[in-house]
Amino acid sequence: MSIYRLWAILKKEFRHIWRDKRTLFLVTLSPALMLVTFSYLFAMQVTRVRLGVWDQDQSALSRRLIASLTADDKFVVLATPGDYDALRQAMMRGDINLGMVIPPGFQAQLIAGERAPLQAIADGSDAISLSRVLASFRERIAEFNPQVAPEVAPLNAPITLNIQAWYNRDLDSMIAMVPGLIPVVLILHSLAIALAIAREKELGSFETLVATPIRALEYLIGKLLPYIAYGLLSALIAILLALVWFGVPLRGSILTLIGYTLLYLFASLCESLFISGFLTSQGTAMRIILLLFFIPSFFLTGIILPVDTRSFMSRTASALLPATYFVTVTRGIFLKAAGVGQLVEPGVALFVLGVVPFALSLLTFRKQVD
Amino acid sequence: MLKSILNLAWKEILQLVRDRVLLLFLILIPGSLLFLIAESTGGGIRGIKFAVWDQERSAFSQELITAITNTSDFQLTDRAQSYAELQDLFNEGRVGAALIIPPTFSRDAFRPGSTASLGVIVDGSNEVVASSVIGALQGVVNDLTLAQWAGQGGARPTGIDLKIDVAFNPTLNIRWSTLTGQIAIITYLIVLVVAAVSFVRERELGTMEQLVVTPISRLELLFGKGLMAALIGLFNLVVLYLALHEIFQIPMHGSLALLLTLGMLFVVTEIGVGMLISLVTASQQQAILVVFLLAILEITFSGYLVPTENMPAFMQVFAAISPLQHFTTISRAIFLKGATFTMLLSHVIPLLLLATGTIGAAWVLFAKAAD
Repeated sequence: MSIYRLWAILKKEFRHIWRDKRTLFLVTLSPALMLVTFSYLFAMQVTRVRLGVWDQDQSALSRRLIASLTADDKFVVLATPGDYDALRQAMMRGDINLGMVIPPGFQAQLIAGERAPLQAIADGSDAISLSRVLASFRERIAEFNPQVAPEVAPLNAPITLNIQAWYNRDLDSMIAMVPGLIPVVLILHSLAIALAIAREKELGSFETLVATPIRALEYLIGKLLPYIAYGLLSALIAILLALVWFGVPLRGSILTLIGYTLLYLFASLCESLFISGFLTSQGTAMRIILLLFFIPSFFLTGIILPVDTRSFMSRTASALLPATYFVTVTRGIFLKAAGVGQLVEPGVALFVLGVVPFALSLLTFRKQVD
Repeated sequence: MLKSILNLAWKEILQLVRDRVLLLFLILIPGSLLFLIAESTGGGIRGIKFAVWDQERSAFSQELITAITNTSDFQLTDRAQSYAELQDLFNEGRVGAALIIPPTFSRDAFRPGSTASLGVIVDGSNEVVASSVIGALQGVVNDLTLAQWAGQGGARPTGIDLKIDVAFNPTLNIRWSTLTGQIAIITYLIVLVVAAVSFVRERELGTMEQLVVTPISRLELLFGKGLMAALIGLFNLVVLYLALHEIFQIPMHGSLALLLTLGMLFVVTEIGVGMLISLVTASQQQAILVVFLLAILEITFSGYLVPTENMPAFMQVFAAISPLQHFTTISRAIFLKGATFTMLLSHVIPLLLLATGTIGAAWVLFAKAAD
């Protein structure tokens, strides 16, 4: 290992990235751009519930219920079917995603102090967003309950829930989502390094490198460091964006966050480095990274839904993705003020996920050269 | 004419089979991705770990805890004795929810006119999980309240009795929603990549000139390449349908013929898009970079994870011209809702327009480029 040769490789790599404007864009600004796009997309609150109402009661109270549901823009009545078939048809066409059926006698039962049944039919074909739709619908019905009307018997509620959401008091989905998306957008650096290695092989400059006195270790470190440096730069841009643009609070220490970001970049770049050893074309490199890291990171890291831990396959795959651990870290440091003490496990995991593929690439690299 | 188109398609298929890495990509990765996503989303929001700080330790408080753990939505993992203990559990991410039962809980719940307050803490760092935890807890407490009323006799429950039925997916299985969208995304990626490298690859390798000097006409060349991509698309659709229906047991409420027909319309549109990319880019690498960026955009706008209706207006415009969004909606509607052709017209017509537009544009551009 010679510092002089390492320095030569480093200089060459930095210059490569700097000259190729496309790669430069990929490793500096595009993570920030993606963070903005994804945040707006995934953090969308249930802004509109498309409601179909079949009011069989046609009473003052049923109308008051509909009015209180649609008081703001969150619930919009888009269909008023006259039977179940019409309601189903509207749901099949996708005009509505929630149907509410108010049976006859609704008002009479409420005034008499009885339980008044109310039926809701929800479109289960979009199960991911439905849980939020139903939660806000239940909430609205519960809010309507006590304030119904003076003529209605007072509601006797023996147990009330006193709910607090920690770390995110208003359950703002943006605040939960933005820190979780930072690991996803930093996957672009894994793509950039894989493309760079594949390009060297395509152009034949890899063989030229092998013919020089450069050693495997020097080559790998020289390759890795510039991408870690650019990764840190784009991570800082993304963090700044999260704080200033999205107003996400940074409750932990910025230094811890930077430290873990470096660890995450190390792990994800090493995995990509290892995989790149087997790839020969840029096209393949792009497909593999897209399908192996990018798409799974939405499902297997728990940013949207918790990973199903009962399945061995998904547990293994999620354990191998560095992003899984870094999501815990970013959410922990941003929202929970977590320090290194609470983040030992993800730290160790990231370290292992970096060192093992690095060692493996060192071994396989030797073979390629021989 | 037909013969030379078939010949050309055969050449394309041979070429594909020889390119082992690409073949691997086409077969192995979509398959494993399908399995992985099915496996990881199969659970939905279930088995949320929660902690209890039971300050009362009465029969009724125990009944409440049992009722919560019986729902399979929750899994009791820790019992805390103090606020600080709860704080540690949350900070380390070991629980997603906590229940604080006050010392006067059952007394307050049973005394007429008074209300027992139950403390609930949720981890807001995942808002989706937090909202569904709140919903599920509310359900359990409502049921318990009703049972308690029935037990007491006399006092009658009042207010609205909300009953929610989930249509098309009664158990709210998230897998049904992700996989019926996944079929569209996988077909999209494969067809687009195959079509996008079609011409640019020949140009890069210098074989384009050879093809142009053979007696094969330009139209035949376009059709030959398109036919190969269409066959791959059809193969994909059939295999994915079988995987969804036979392995993951997702019910097919609509017509398979309709799904395949509209699926092929979608495939043709994507072939048009892919060929356009292939004609305007200079190298395979550029073509794939364009596909990558387009794919990220289209997948996010497809309604796969986020309903398009909830997007801001300018994003909805993008969704309206995205073929992937239309086919994702079509696939879900046919599989889960049993939608018929006329119900899907608002998605079929845009797809038809997009198909004619992209294929037409590819044809014009190709005629120009070849001259």
